[in-house]
Amino acid sequence: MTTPTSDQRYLAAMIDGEPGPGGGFEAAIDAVERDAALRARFERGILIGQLLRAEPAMPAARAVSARVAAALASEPVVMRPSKRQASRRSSSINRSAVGLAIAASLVAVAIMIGPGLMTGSGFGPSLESSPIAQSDPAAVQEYAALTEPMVERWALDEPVSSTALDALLVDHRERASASGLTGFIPYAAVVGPSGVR
Amino acid sequence: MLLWLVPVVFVDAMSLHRLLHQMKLVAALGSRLSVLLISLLLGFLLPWVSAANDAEQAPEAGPAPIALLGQMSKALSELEYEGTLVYLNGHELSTLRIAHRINGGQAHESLLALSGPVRAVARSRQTVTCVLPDARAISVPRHSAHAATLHSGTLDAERLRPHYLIHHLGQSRVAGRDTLVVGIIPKDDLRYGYRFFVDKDTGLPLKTDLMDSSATPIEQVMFTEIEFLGRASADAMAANAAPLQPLEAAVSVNSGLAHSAPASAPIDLAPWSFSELPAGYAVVAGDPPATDTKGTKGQRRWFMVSDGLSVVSVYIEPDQGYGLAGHKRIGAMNAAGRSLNGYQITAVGEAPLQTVQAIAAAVRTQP
Amino acid sequence: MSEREVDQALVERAQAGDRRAFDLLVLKYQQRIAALIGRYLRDSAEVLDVTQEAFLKAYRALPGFRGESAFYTWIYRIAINTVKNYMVAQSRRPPGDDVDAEVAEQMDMGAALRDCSTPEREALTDEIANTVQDALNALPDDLRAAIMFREIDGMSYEEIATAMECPIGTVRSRIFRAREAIDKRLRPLLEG
Repeated sequence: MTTPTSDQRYLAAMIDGEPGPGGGFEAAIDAVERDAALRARFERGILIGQLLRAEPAMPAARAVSARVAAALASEPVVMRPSKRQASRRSSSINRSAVGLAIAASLVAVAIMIGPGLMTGSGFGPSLESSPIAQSDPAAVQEYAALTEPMVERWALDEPVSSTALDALLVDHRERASASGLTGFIPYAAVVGPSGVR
Repeated sequence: MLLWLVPVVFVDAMSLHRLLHQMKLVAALGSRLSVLLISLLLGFLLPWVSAANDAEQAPEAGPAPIALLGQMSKALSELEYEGTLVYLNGHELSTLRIAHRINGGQAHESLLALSGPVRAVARSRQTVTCVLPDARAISVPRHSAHAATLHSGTLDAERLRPHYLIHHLGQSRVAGRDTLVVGIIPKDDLRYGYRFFVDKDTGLPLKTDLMDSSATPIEQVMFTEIEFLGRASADAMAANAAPLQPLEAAVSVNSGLAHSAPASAPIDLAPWSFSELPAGYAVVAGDPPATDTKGTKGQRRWFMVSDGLSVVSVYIEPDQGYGLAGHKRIGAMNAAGRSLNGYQITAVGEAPLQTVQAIAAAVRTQP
Repeated sequence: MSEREVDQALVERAQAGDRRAFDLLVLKYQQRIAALIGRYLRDSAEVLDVTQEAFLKAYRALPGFRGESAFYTWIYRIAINTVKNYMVAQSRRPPGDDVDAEVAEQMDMGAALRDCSTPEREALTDEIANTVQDALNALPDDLRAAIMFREIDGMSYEEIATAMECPIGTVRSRIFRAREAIDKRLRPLLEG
């Protein structure tokens, strides 16, 4: 049985990684494991975050957890031999790893740039309407290229051309940065422009 | 020259930071409002370049400009830091998060766009991977410093003198820190110049303006906050990086035989050559041809053309039919491409379009 | 870091035999992994099959997961290998343009995969996207700012509390209420 306040704390722990009651995550995990409604809210909470960030989402993929659970029902339970190693490892995380993790966490911070993003070009024509045969790998690749979001960058007609040119741009920046001077924040020019006009 | 001077009343970086923070708040209230706010912000940014100052007010205290640039280059390679940058190009403003660390003598860097579509760069030990605005990821191998070295922490002032002026331009505050401002000012339209705001304490450039010869800013990058994490020791740096050699004096532009450091190693251009490069530019580095004589046809060749500061890469590869024909621009970067005898020639660099086009056009096949 | 700690806590439970903990990891990452696999396969049924297989492989390999990388990095590698193997088995050529695992570990490439080449197929309809946007727009200012600071800016509750000059408990409440309000509008579409 959970209360509105404890629900807040449990979901804050599970979705946002904010330490829950007791300063850890155990109580929150216990609660979400045993309360089906809370579990569902956790799942939709994760999904809402993805939607807000305009990450791709497939409603059908929500069924994966049930399919995995069903498949696992016939499998033996995995057990790890020793738990000691885990604690030793977690304490050995060094500063650079922490730094990289901080950097990693920052990737999740894309600011939504406009009303068009959520409904933007990431969603192309339906697959069913595609004339491309499923079995043709070249066509699959071509189709994938054609359905790339239409974000203007070099504004080349062919995505493959843009990718080739972008690769040259990145390679150029990498080589030029070795010069040590013009390479101040050498990649700001690569990722600075949003590509959105 | 006057236009390159820093306004006395430079927009205070902390104000900018606060403004950006408010922008975030307002952005949360509606994207239309955020557009208005960005316009407002641009209103703050524009005076950076439009306000002029009296040259006599530029303080002469501190190291000589060329020495300051040397300190800056050293700081860039040795300091570890994290911070937030704003990137301004034309009317587009982005916020970026940077983390720069030295690990085992090698710089590792991650750069993440905090605004707009997710864009990111990670320079790890062996590769540089960029996630572009449309989520395409591109990885290229890292290149050792000596492979394309132009400078040894200091610029070759003699090399630059015919084409640039190097001057103190004053001092300013960026990210709440005192900076000395030094300009590398182009004398003609064939190259861009820089205005560096160099942190007095650490030597790190806290703001970099890329500007054309008329002092119109092409691109500006500025820290709004920075945290210094330490400095890699010289020993650690030496452990993994070959000592950088200064660029040999300017080579004959039309000789077709240019040199990169060390001077004793000529650049093997064959079967290519360059003619009529823009004034001051020369081929300073290049990948050697494949050792396997049969493999040269399919290999991409790379050459670096530079005037000692501006750098343009020239790529020559078999024409696959989708190369760049004509020219494109992204930010300060111009690219020009053409086809030549079944090969695609692409020149890419932070240089004016006419320069990049001329370099692409200068490629010849040897008879 | 703390999101990784949650994952690590779930992993350790799953390694100790707690399948419900593994189920929570699947719930958390099923969309991202499906999107990743969707970069390689265009048939939605295949995407779901391979996504399921990737999680099953992860479960079987779980005793060997040593926590040296984030769980997502680990499952990301498994998913890439699974889909490539699947394509080879289907006599299809997998593309060679995936991000290397080292970079995936440094940077949360899953987040960066947004907007990737997922055509409409099973992706969200405009209606769902618009619903979320509308729900966001309809929120009171303080709730909207809080949820956007968290989900878009990735700020911690403490950072949000500083930015909004309010106690952490208020931040928690605002984010909770914002999610509830969005969920209320979204649920009929997802479950209808």
